[in-house]
Amino acid sequence: MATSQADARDRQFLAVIGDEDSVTGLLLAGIGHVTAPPDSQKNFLVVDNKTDNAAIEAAFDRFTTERKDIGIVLINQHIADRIRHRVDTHTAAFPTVLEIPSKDHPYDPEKDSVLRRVRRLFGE
Amino acid sequence: MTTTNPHLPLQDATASPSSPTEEGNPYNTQIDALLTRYLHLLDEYTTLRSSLSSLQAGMYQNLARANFTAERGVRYGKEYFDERMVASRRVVVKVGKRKGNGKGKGKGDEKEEEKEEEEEGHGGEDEGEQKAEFGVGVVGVDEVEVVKEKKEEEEEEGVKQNEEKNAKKESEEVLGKHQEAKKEVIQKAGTTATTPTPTTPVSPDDSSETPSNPDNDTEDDKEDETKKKKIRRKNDPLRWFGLLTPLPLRLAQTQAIQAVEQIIPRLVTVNAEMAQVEIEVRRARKRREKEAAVKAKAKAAATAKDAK
Repeated sequence: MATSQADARDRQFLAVIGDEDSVTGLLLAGIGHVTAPPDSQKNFLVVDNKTDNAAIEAAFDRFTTERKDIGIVLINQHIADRIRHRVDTHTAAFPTVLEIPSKDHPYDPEKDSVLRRVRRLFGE
Repeated sequence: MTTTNPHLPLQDATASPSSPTEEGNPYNTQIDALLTRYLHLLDEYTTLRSSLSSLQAGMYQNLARANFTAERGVRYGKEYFDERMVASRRVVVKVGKRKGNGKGKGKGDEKEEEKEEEEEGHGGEDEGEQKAEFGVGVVGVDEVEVVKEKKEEEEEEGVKQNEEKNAKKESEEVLGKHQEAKKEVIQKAGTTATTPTPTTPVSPDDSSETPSNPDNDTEDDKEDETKKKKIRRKNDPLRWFGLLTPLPLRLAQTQAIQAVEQIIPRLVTVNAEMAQVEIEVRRARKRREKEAAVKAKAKAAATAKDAK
């Protein structure tokens, strides 16, 4: 208990994996953070057509497992679809992953992990 | 769009919980209470979802407008991101026990449940019993720095408090004896040591350098102040895109802030709460099944006896 509480308290950043407009918009809100120079770790990843799935997966792993200072990971839904197996296997309470709509891909409730959980609960 | 689809499972919801066993079963009422709470959460989730969608749509529209009116070749995007950005909005996670959270169920049920949870005591339940509440708030960079400084001070003071006092006294005495030429400066050092300024804590080894510190103190403070002012000015992400930013970009910023401060933390909290209720529902269902199996066995045994 005590350890997880302390763990939660250290999680003070939001992280974003998204297309350029999503990241730009959210960084405008002041959530962007780059750590001190030697590592210079960013808490965001801009994904474009050239970004391959391995890079997205690596960023997702970095935000969810390696870094202990991230509380919420925001990821565009269409990008989450590209690494769906990784997103769905992330079940830890911290950091929590939230899929957000993007400019070209509006929110699709069919793909929403929460609503799929709802269906599973009632479909049993 | 968003509101119609999630409501589809609701029809199943009303049908499924009461069907398997007879009414009046305490587990059924408990499960029903949990499910009503769950549906309330689901309702909140869907409304939050739709408001997030509309907010973000507005944000994208404003970004597009800003890019459209921008000079040729200028695109408000990653090229302008500051490489040394510091987050001004941060997450605050409150983790508490779930006890005060039982809105939809009676007190009796709650107590029962707690007992049973204690009895079961699986390892995996530790996470489930906690209730996490997320919030996002503004943290001024200078505030962060001040907090850090204070922490450092406290730590240093905590560790060295006693040592320092003794060491300073000793060092002053020693210096006073051996370096009479610098006596006046040392007296200055003595006065600054009594008033707690951030740079004064000095380890005993550095005591020979103390005379030079107090003179720099005021300069350091001034430098710090100017630095903080600079950082504060820099810290508005709008400044990455120039001094005079177009109105649509500023509108996009306000929408993004609204999403980040109000919608996203609430969405995440509701999500966590829903996951928690899901676990409880599954647990209650299992218990109900167990009880039903026990009853069925007892009945079978009774009928077998009667047959004999």
